[in-house]
Amino acid sequence: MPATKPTKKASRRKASAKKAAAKRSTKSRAAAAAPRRGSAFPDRIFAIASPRSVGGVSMFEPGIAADSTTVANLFSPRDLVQRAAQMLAQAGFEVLQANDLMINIAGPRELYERAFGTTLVTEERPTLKQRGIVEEATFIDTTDTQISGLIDTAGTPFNEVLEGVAIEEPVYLATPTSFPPPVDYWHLDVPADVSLGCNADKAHRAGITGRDIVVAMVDTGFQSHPWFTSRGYRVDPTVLGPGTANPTVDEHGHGTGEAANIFSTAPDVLLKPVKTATASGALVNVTAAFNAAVALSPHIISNSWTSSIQFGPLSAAMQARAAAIAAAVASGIVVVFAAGNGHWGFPGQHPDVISVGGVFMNRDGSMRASDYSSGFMSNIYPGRRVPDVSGLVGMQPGAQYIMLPVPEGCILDVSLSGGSHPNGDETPGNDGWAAFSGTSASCPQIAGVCALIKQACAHLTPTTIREILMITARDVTAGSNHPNFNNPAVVGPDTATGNGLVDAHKAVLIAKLRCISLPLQPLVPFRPFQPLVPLVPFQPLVPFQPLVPFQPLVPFQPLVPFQPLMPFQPLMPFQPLVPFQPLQPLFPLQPFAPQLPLLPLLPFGPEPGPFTGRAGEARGSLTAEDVAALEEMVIESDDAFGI
Amino acid sequence: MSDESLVVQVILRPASGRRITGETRITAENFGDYAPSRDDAAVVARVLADAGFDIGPFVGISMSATALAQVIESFFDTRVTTSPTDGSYAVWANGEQRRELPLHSLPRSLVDRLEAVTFEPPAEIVGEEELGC
Repeated sequence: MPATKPTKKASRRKASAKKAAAKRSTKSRAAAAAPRRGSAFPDRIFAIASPRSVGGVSMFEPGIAADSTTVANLFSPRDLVQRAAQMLAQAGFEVLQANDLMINIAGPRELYERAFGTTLVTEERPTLKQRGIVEEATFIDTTDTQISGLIDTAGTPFNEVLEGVAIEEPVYLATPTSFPPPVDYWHLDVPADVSLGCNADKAHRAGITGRDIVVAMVDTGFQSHPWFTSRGYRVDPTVLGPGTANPTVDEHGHGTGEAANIFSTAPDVLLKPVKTATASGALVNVTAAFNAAVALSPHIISNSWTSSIQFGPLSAAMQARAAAIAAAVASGIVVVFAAGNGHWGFPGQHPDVISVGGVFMNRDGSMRASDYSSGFMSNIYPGRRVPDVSGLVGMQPGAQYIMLPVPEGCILDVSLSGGSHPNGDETPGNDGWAAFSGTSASCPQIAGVCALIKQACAHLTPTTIREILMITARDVTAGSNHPNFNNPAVVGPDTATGNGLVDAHKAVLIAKLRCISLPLQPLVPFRPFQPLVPLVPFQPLVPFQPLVPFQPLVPFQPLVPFQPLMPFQPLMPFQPLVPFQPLQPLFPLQPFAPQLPLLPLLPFGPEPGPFTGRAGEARGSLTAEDVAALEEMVIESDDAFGI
Repeated sequence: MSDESLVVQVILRPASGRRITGETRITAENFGDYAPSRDDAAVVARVLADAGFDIGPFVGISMSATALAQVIESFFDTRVTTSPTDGSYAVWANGEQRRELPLHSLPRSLVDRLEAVTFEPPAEIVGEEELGC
């Protein structure tokens, strides 16, 4: 090794010559095409100064790639490092750190230019930033060398001790992963745990996944995250509510996290986010945003937001909000609202919404009312009990219960980070994951279950869907709700959890039965008001334009010979819809018996259905009583029977 | 504030002739009693659009109207301010801050069709109680 190693002096000469050549080359390059100037310089510019190395080779030499076998050549003598650090400090630089390889310094632009006789410039370059967004970032460069950001010390007092100075480049966090961070406390992951807790897995297995159902979500926005993209969830571009901006960014993170709750219970829905938050995360103009959601004609609107109103009278703004909900529900849209986390939730107490509370499910499957969730009898709407039904919510003090994907570094990611559970989610503030819940989480879970019900039976009304959710919910009889109300969970419906924890599987089964028993009515879309297309403000007439000079006609082209139309095909006569074929009624299996003599096969043809069977056959149509009995069987059954 | 873009909610009167008060409870069941007429909605939207407002979809009894603060102040003959409690927008009327804008300066054809024009109070995300943000 020493035999082939160039002497330090020779190396320095060689390196200086190269730098000089590079500097000359750069100068001519700079003269030919000045770099595009970018933003203003930061007050402090960070850089790495490299003391001259024992190997005589600069770490900045082109072609040098330091690894464990070569890095020893790049080390510098301790005394030289100390001398260089002293010189830098005397010149005015902050010496932040020094070791055998490099000295980390900081200082203003003018100091660099004065100390190293250089000129700094800023350049905007496309860069992959946080949240996976490619945007321009400000890089600081010099006119000294061809190597980006490298300051040549030649010709300065620092040349004796430094090989060069490399200006730091902007660094961004890596994009988060699809996998939640491991944490050592009881929590739920999405989609699996939330789906299981809501008993949605079995519905999914039966092909009920929310396909062809559109769910709008009024929240802080939505931002792409690998958790969504890697699973192929479908999300339309965010619609901006009035007074909001940046449709691709969810600065707060709440909407992105709640979207994961929707997909956990209904993985095949199409999500249409509507943003109603400013960059600070404050919700603004929520009624206008809700109206924007209605205008998207979704099947379901999920609303994890609230105002706390204990008593009337209602303000004009609240009347507008109530009427918007009433009109949406009257037109067939299922409107789901969070009951609140200690709030007297409004519109969570509006009679037309599905009001969602919270149930905490433990590791052993036991359930208790979440003491984080609201539940009360409304003073504004007499007889209105809040909530109707519950989803999965954590417990006090912070309900940090469901690990949800959020934009890394967003308000939620940072606010909930670190600490020790339950006072923090024990994840970094920049990893794109945060543990939180509240009725803002249970609301989208139920919105997803509504999508399953809607897929199972498209013509069910919002009122019927709510009823199905309630009669199939699992009764919760332990715990009490938020201390603001302190209502205990008891046997049967109560103001702690409503009718209890949602059971998506049973709700879907009942929806299917309702589809059999309810005669299909041709749906007449109820349209109390067509959303008005914003009127184009009146435009003054454009000043009269002089006529374009007359253009001679293009030479006449002979017409293509006329093609006789294809003979008209009369439309097929309208076929009345075949009556819906309900499932064959379940019959207990007959004990095995010797086969009867084979009867001659009948000619192949369609099986007579329950509604088309011949009179007197045992397989008759399902009566309303039959369906009611089946519903009762489903509701009363437990999973041990495999229903 | 004059160069800020602000949003107001424009609430129309019911076509039935009923009035909406603080005690009114509008639900899907009785919504027809409080629904404004489409013609009224179209007229109000046109007038506001001509005055420089961007009009949102009409749902229920209201639509949003967005304009620069100076346009709102000029159209409603008032001064927009912010609430010291929550930073939301309001106007001064009779010595107190209110979210509802005065309608006295509007043409009769508009006033007769309007129940109220109001700034929306801020709502809360259900879930950030412990964040302090």
